[in-house]
Amino acid sequence: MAVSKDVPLWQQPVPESAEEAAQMEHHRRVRLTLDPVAPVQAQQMIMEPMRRQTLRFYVIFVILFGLVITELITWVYQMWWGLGVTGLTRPTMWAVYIVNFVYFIGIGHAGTFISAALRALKVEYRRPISRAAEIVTVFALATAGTFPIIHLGRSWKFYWLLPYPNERQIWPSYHSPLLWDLTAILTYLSCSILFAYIAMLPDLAMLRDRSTGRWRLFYRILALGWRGSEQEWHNQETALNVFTYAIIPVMFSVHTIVSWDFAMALQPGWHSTVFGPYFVIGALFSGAGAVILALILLKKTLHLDYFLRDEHFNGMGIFLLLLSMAWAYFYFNDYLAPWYGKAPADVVLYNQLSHGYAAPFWYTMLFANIVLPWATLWSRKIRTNLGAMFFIALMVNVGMYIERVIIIPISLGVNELPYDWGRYPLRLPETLITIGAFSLVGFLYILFTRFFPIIPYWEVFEGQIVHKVQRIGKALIPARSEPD
Amino acid sequence: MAEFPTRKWQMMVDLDKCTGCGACVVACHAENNVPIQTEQETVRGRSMHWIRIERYWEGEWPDVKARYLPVMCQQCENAPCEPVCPVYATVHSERENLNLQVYNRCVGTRYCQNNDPYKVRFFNWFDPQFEGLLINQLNPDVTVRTAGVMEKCTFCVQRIRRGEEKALVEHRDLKDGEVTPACVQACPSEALVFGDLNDPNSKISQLTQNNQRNFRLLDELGTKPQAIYLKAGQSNVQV
Amino acid sequence: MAEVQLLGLFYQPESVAGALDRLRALGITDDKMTVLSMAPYRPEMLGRPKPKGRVGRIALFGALFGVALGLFLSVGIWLLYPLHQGGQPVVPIPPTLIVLFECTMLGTMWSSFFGMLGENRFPKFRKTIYDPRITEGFIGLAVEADRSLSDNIESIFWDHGAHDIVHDQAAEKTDPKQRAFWLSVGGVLIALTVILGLFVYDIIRIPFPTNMANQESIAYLQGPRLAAPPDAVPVQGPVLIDGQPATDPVPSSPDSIQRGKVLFGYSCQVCHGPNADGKSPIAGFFNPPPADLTSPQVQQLTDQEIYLVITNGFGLMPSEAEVLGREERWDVINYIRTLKK
Repeated sequence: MAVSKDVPLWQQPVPESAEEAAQMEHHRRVRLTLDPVAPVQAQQMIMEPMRRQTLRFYVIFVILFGLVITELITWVYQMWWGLGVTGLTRPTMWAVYIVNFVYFIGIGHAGTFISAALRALKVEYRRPISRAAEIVTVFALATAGTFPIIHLGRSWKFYWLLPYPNERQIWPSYHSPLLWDLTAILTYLSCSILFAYIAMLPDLAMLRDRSTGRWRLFYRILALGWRGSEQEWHNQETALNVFTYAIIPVMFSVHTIVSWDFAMALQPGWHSTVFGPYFVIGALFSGAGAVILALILLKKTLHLDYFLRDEHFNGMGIFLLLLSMAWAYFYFNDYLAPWYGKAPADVVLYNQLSHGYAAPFWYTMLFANIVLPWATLWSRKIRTNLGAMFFIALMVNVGMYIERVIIIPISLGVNELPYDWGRYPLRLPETLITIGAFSLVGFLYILFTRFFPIIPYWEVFEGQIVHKVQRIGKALIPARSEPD
Repeated sequence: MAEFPTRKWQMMVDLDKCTGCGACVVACHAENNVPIQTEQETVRGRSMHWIRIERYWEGEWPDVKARYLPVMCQQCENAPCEPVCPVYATVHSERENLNLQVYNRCVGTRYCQNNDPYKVRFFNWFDPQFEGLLINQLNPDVTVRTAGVMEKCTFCVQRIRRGEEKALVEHRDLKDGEVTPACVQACPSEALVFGDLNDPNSKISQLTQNNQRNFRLLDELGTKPQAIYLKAGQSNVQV
Repeated sequence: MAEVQLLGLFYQPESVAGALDRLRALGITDDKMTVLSMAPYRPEMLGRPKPKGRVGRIALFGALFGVALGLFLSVGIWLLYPLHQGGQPVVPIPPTLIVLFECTMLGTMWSSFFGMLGENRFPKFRKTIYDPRITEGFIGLAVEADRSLSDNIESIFWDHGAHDIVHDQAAEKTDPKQRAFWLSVGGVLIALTVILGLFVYDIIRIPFPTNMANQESIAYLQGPRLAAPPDAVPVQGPVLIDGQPATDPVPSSPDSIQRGKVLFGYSCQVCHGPNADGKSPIAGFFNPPPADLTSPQVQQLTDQEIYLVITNGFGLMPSEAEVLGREERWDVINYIRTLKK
């Protein structure tokens, strides 16, 4: 057997001819999977935020924490005095809290899509971004889960909604979409956490090996003794496969079930059969925007330029554009049928949207969700410009938030009997709690980046192992061998 | 629970006779311990009238007419408010054909109100305040609800149950008109009639069967409401 | 037969594959060799047999368990509590399908997670041969063989470009810190579950005053009614009007006091005590406790005021009007007057 000089992956020989070397250099600059570096070096980059915190971090941390405490105090105040301190009224009995609930659950979908669906489809640019996206999912879902409790009239009795053996001689009712919601969201949240943990084990082992002292003990315990043996990798891969193929249908079902909270009602504006897929696409859309925001912030504040390159933002930008088109298709479906049918309550509702008090919201939503992405995201230059992408992703999130506002409080304001029309006035407690919820996601996220690696380095390295260049004609073309 | 006979309780509202006086509203407040809201809360749309008089204006000045539509919980057979409650706080009584609201089970999700096309359900946004001597007027047969609980018209189920118990103890059948909700009792023009539609001799059966004026509110939604309305005069005018 | 464990560190999969072939030629079987790496290498790349795993089958069992859970949560609960809602059948099919789907997925994923942990024997309490340089990018080839072969194995490693060889680390010692941690985590979880159970099943009660149990609408929880102003709407029954006695008091006579004593024994003694001093077996259950009728505070009240208290109730005391007729109440009052300290 020929003995090859045992050279590591990141010290492969440079091609001889100058032209090929230039092509190779270009590939290395553009593609992460063709640019392997020594793992120790990459790991230093990943561990940097865990070692050193800047003043900027502490300032932001304190601000976010303060806003979260404000949310908690406001919620206790609301529980003490009663829900009357909010702007909720008859007929708009659901408003900002449920909007937040739907919004945060929606954001969570893109994380799962990137880490699960893109893995199933073998899309390579998902490698460095999958954990950042999955963590957005986990924390957004956790925050969303607080809202069904906050919006209850008797929040302290929220546990009556949990199906467990109790002494009250009655269980909750699975006739109700709210219970389907509970089951679906608990499934989704718990399985997202487990999914993230399974995928994180090799990275925890890596951190264990690079750390000293108490950090080492922390990672040693969490790594569960991971060695990287063939059996361990095989079992992990089987588990990841089960999770991938199981969590994708769960992801679709979760937001569909959330949409059924509305579609099951006889309310004008809610009673639409297209709500299921419409909400799922809307969730992926707003989630993709949120993931892009997270990635831009991570790249800039944690100096992850090696890992997060133009190709990733380009891929996410195309994803965002496709989702914008899909969302527009579903929204048009949802809008068209009642517009054509001219049922009286629907006519009144649509008049509110097009030239009533809801018009500023509606037009902003259409601009942010359709006009802006369609006008900009076709251009590769814009997709790789981080400032532009930040703005577009932010506007997409604003537009999707407004979409939920239109569906919930504004549609509830128009009913079959004209005597029951109303408007929802936003008041201070809901505002403080909403701001606190957004801060909670941010707070948990930046806390996470100080303790755990936000880049799944083992997946990046796995990609770098199987990617090579091959010569076709005069050019060096990136090739990828399928691992299976 | 004792075995009461099966009933099909209906409320009939004769829109021709309704004067919009509001006595039914007041009687309901008194009978069912419904709190009265402050002016500020009323402006916020939170007044709680289990039966309300909806007033619609028709025509142009100076030929303006007011139409009155008393609306209370329609006790639908296919009640959309029932299946959406996650804690079984609103269920259907098959025997009495009524939509029951269980106060101590309600956690305040408010989904029932969202799904209710008549919007006849009311939420206790604060703890109800009964100022001064109003506390002495509370009906001991009806729970005073706390903050966070939904409530709605029950067709004065406490009176129905009392009546049925009395009839059972006296080994007789319930007479038509013996049990009346507070609003029916208070109505001065007898626009409200209450009775058992299963009994062909009851006043309500006789007034509403084969009556060309009768209709049910939002019938097309398929909720099967148990309140019958009789159209007012000038029957070409839709209410 | 002393056994040694050797770990060779390589960079290239080809080197490892070559070394594996030579080791097999030496007579070492595949199950005594294992490859450690920072990223997964396909078994075909290294010439290794495909690892067998049971995680898939465990996931399948988990799915079946999830189906059972889903059926219980939907069909089971509906059949246990057959309440009618909205004209729907007691066991409707579409919600059953929704719940079944979610619970099946839940069961699948949770069982595959715990299956993976179990199959990998996580968390590892025993030390196994390992080197931190594996996560620097090295591929480790761990061999367990008889001590006599160790020199051969080392030379095979060096021949194939190994960068270092690590010797026999693991004596299968248990890692005490790791074991202590996971046992304490398990202990804490069990303790939390037990404590939660104590609260959930009301073994420890938190008195929470929002249950609509105390109703304002029950009349005898109120104090005595205020006097109507003069010229007000006439009221029924006795009313205390300033300066005017309640109607027809029974004069105090030995017969009246004797009757009063007997009636006191029937109606009042149970709460106010046999000596009318508020010390009865059940007095402790009331807050505030039943009044001491011999005290100056009660004795200073006029007869009419005591008559109203008996007729209307006071605080937690219910009205005795249905129990004592009008004259009987005066008899009791006459008896109480004799009890003044």
